[in-house]
Amino acid sequence: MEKSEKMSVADQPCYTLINIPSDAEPPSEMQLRQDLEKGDIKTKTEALKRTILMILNGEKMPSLLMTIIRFVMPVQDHTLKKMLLIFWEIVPKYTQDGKMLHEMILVCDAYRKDLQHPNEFIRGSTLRFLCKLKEPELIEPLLPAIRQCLEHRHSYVRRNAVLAIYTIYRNHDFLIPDAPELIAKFLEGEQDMSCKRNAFMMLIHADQERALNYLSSCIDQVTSFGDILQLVIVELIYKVCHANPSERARFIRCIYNLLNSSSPAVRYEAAGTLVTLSSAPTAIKAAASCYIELIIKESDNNVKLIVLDRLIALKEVPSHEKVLQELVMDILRVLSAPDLEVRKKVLNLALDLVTSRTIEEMVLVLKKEVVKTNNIEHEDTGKYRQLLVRILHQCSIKFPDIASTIIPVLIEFLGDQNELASADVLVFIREAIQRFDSLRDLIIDKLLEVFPSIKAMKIHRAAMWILGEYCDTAEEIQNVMTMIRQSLGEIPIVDDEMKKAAGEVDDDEMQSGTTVQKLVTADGTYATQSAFSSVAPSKKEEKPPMRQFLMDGDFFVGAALSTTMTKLALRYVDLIKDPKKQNAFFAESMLIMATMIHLGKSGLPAKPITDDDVDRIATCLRVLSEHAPMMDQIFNVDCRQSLSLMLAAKMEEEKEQQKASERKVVKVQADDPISFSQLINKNELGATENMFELTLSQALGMTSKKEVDPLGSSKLNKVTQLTGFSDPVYAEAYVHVNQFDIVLDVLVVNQTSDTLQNLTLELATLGDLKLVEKPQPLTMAPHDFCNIKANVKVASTENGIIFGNIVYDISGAASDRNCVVLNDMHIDIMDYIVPASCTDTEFRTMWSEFEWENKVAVNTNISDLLEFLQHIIKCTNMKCLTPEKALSGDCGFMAANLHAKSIFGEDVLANFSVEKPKHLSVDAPVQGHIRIRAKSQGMALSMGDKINLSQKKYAKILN
Amino acid sequence: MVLLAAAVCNKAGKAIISRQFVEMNRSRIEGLLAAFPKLMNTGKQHTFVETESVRYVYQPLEKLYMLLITTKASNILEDLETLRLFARVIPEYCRNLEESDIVDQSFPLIFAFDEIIALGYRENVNLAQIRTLTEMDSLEEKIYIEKKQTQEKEARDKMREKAKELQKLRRDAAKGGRMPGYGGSGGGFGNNTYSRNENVIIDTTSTEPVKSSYVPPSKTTGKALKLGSKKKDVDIFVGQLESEGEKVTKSGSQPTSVLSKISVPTSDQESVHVVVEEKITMVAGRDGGLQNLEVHGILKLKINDDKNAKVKLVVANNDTKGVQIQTHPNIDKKVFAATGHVGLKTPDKPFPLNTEIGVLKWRFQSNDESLIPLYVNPWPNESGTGCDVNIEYELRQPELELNDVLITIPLPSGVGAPVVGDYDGEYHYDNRKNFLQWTLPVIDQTNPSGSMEFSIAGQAEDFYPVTVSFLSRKSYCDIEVTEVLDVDSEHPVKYSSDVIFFPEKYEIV
Repeated sequence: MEKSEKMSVADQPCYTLINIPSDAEPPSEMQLRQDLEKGDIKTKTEALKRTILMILNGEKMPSLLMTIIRFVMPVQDHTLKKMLLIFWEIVPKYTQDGKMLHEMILVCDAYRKDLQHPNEFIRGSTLRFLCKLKEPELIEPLLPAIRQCLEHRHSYVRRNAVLAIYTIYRNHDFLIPDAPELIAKFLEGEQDMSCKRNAFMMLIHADQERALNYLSSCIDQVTSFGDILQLVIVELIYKVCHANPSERARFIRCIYNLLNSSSPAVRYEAAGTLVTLSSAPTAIKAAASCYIELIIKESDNNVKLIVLDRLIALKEVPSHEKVLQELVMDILRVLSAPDLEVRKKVLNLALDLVTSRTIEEMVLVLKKEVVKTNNIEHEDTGKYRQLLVRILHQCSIKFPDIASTIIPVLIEFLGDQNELASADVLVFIREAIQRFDSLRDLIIDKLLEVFPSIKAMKIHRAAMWILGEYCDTAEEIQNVMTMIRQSLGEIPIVDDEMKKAAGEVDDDEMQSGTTVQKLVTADGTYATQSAFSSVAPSKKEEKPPMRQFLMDGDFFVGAALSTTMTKLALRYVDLIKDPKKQNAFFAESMLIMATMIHLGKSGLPAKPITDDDVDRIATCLRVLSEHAPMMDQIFNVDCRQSLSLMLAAKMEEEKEQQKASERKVVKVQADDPISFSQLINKNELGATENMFELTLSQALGMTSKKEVDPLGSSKLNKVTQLTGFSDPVYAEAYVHVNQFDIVLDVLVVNQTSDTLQNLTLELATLGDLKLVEKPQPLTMAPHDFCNIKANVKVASTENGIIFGNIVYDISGAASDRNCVVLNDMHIDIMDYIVPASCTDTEFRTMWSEFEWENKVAVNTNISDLLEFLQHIIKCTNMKCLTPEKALSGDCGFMAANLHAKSIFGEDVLANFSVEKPKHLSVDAPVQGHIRIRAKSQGMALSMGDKINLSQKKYAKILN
Repeated sequence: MVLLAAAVCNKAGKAIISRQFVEMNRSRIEGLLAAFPKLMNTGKQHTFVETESVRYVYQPLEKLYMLLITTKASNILEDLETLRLFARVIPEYCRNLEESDIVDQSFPLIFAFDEIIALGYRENVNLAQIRTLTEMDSLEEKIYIEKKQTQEKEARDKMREKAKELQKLRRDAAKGGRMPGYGGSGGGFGNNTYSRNENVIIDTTSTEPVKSSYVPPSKTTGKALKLGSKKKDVDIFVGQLESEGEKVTKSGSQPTSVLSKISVPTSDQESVHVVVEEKITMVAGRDGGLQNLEVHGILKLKINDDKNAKVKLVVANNDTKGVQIQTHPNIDKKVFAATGHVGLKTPDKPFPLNTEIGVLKWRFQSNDESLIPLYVNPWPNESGTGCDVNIEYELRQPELELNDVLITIPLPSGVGAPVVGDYDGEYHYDNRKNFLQWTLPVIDQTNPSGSMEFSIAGQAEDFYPVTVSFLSRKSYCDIEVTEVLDVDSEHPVKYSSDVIFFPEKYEIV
């Protein structure tokens, strides 16, 4: 059993990784030995390089060790010496049974010589290597030499000596118990900045008391220190104040001074620490201003984004938020940065912070930004404009008073080519006009003003809808009607078009084809051709927008127009009691509708009208001709109601979100214990953990996962039997899945009464798995058992299979090697899937981008739709993006979107389309499809398999 | 800032080489590196990715990526600066910035990376310095090798001479018919001693000297006109903080660990204060002979309170060396000789107030070397190129405890700093006044001897006279006041005392 305690390569600290494509034949050990022994320096260097690479790839070459000690170590060549240090770093230093190799004693003497080497660089790099050496037996004899290096003339040697002493003290403090004292003394006499920094850093970690003493002795000169030293000073202050909050008062002054350091890095760090030192408004303000300054001054986007994150984190604390609110205008200065993502963050932050006092100023700035975007053409300008519109929209919801100043600016956008921003403007206007009655007139006036300049079809349609819905007075209705007429041109359209076609010979061709075609199909001379091309554009411009849309075949806009006109007509009838006028209005509307249907069927437009649109227009015609009160009700009241319902639902949702985010804010409960800083002992500080150490341990993956069940009933679930009970060698494996690797703990039992020699576990993998090291062969006594550990590296999320066999020789028997084939082990991808969420638009873009789709037919025995969905969500670790509201209720079918991410950052999407036909019985199973999309094939396939499997599994349990 | 690893990746994001600066196991780093290609975002205007546990910061370099993995709390400004430096290092070694180049140059790159980061912290280096550090051209090594070669040459010459001599001897002996007893062994030595150094390559290309990494403090702000305005700034800030209920202490109010250097000890004085002061004058020859040793001692009394003006001192004289003691004329000599009590001749008269009066004097003179309190022995050894000096001290009087021992050795001027080898304590070289100061904070029974070695160009004559200064709280002649008694009541009176023993002149000439 002891053997299994031995650390495997994967667990050992690793400082060097070199991935060399292994196309070349690896040199034989013999060849290497010869080169190392007899070659000149160049050959030796090359051979040593090969050896190192082979060891890095998991080979162990015990026989080369002595050769290297004898023939390479004495060589004085600098490169070779340094390369040797890397060799010593990675070479296995222990025998199979965990004892140190005897040869290492010889090596140790070489280290000592190098520590006294006249070349300061060799001394330095040897000292640096010692930082990585962990064996106390090897370090002990070197200590006098290391101490001497502390007084070497060259700062390079000294600074590395400090680090060596630091790591030795950290790993084995008994070896050098006076290290803190030694370093403290060293620090007092030291002049070189690097040495000072390293010494100070060592004290911070080893003996804070001394570090503090040193700091207080020079606290007034801190501002004159170099940046790297200032940085560790800030770190010290952070640490000290963390462990011992009562010390805070001592350092505020110092930190404030550092806040004005010449190095931006120091300023950034100091600001972060100042916030932890004090939560007084002045301190927060100083820190926040420092952050803002950094964001504005630093040109790098990375810095901007990360520092912004810090500002946002600052905002999360309710007491700090007030302070930040005063700085909104400063934050908005960051908008000068060109990166969209930065601007987005800034705007969102500003929106959160804006108050009724600052809103007006903010709107002014935003307006200016909007105007600016008109001049600059950049790929992101459109998106930026859209962003600005959204922010303005949200501002006006938060502060309804300012809506009247915003709207005129925004409406100007509608004429813009850019659909993104315009669509958002319309959404905004729709909400504004519904909510604020007072703004109605203003909006409608403005809208009518801009309407003719609108060029995009979608915008046109939506704007028309707003006009149709909210024009209340007869005059307005008349205006709209005139505008519609204008935008349609001469009525009836078909006749008009025919006339035009007749007027100009080739007009038909021209309209149906593009300019390029014209050139090809024209049968005239070159002169006529040029005449056409010059006529064509002017002709197109002349055509009113609505007519153009219709001619292009977009009859949907026609349907919308019909609805609008119906609404207007019905309202007009209510307002104007003169039957003559009523009829005239009706007639006009109906004429327009009729002519649109006519045009649609005439074959003149690029595409004929669709049946849906015909239906829609026909319905409108019928409504107008019959003029039933019920239709009146539907068109003029119920429509608006459903809009207000939708807006209300949206508001509700937003409020909910807000509440949810508010809930996150920690509030002091009435019965919370009050903590007195003087009474807190060190262990109780857990509430705010040391950020530096926390992140470091996180990064190193040392935060252990919580073992839910220490006895491991769940652990036992993961045991896979590999061979049969009657096989000569029984094996079973416990598959432990870590984040990026899989550890197989294989129990091997010799069931025979023979001694098995050279028993080897041979493993191979399928999928994106890689074996890190080969398990070593071993010998087993009769009926003995032992554990073998094997590490498998995982590189992406795919179902992986590990298979292999166990081979062995029976001692004494002359037969060939025996072999037992192992059962396959399947690695479940669910261990790598975590739920993730994204917005609807993100989902859609991903959905259209992803290349691999796996369509899984539903085959289950669950009869309830929601239950089925929940079951799949549970099995697949995915997150349902469709809000619960949309899923509730029973209508016989269901659609939902799911999203998850692998720990490698791969997205996987799923779309549920399931139904339960009404005509089937209550117990009938759910039917339908689940479509899975992912960027990689493996992911889509594996996920599909998983869903297939879990459907069936469920069935098995039920039966 | 903690930088976990620096890696060079190919276009697909796969790591070619990676160097870790903190301890992490292999599966972890491989996992982190494997996750990078999937996280890497193209088309965005920033080049960092954060995951739950780490932050990746990278920079594209033609067909490669330079990638740093840091903790999430790491200082991004610092990291970017480091990244830029890393990115500039790569073209130094790889001309084409292609994957194959990186593979070829993997080791030099790793060596260079090592110079930039130490245990996750950025070192203060620039490109030129990295070059110097990785080239490893050391002047000292060259000197060392040259020295060794000349030594070898000398040894060889000597050997040849010796061989000639021996041959001559043998010839003479052959002539004389006598065989020398030791003749056979002479030729054997010197042949195999230094042969290993033959493959040392002496690089004679000139190197740029290692620049001092000290960076002069730059002006922190551009507001040079407002002198002292910053200070005020801080005060305003602190004031504001205090008004908001934050405690701020003055930065200067930390009295801890400030060692005040005292030449004359001052302790809290009681109403009766006694001072024992001894000065030693010693001149010793360089060969060990003592030329003169003289100790002058005085016992001073100071009365601060007229209530206790009538006192007598009980003096214990433990001297065995033969010290001559004198009393003040107003002191009762007979009583002193009989009982060791020091009092006025007229017992009802008080001692004068608030003045220090010497009541007892003693003198000691000797030529006995064993009585030297601290024996200092410099031993210069002239060699071919300069002089190796061995200097040692020895505490001859074990009951003494010497503080702040300062041994000053003059050095020849204009030959640069000495190369100090092994030494105890600390040393300081003053290049203006041309001397080496060897300081030892305490010499007592625990470290009765110590030594220092250094070498410098010069002759034996240059290193004299060596002067020594120290301070001791123990009397050399071992005379002390044990009690102070009131003359009338014979009751002990509270008193304070100081003992100080220091050299007036202490030289080895």
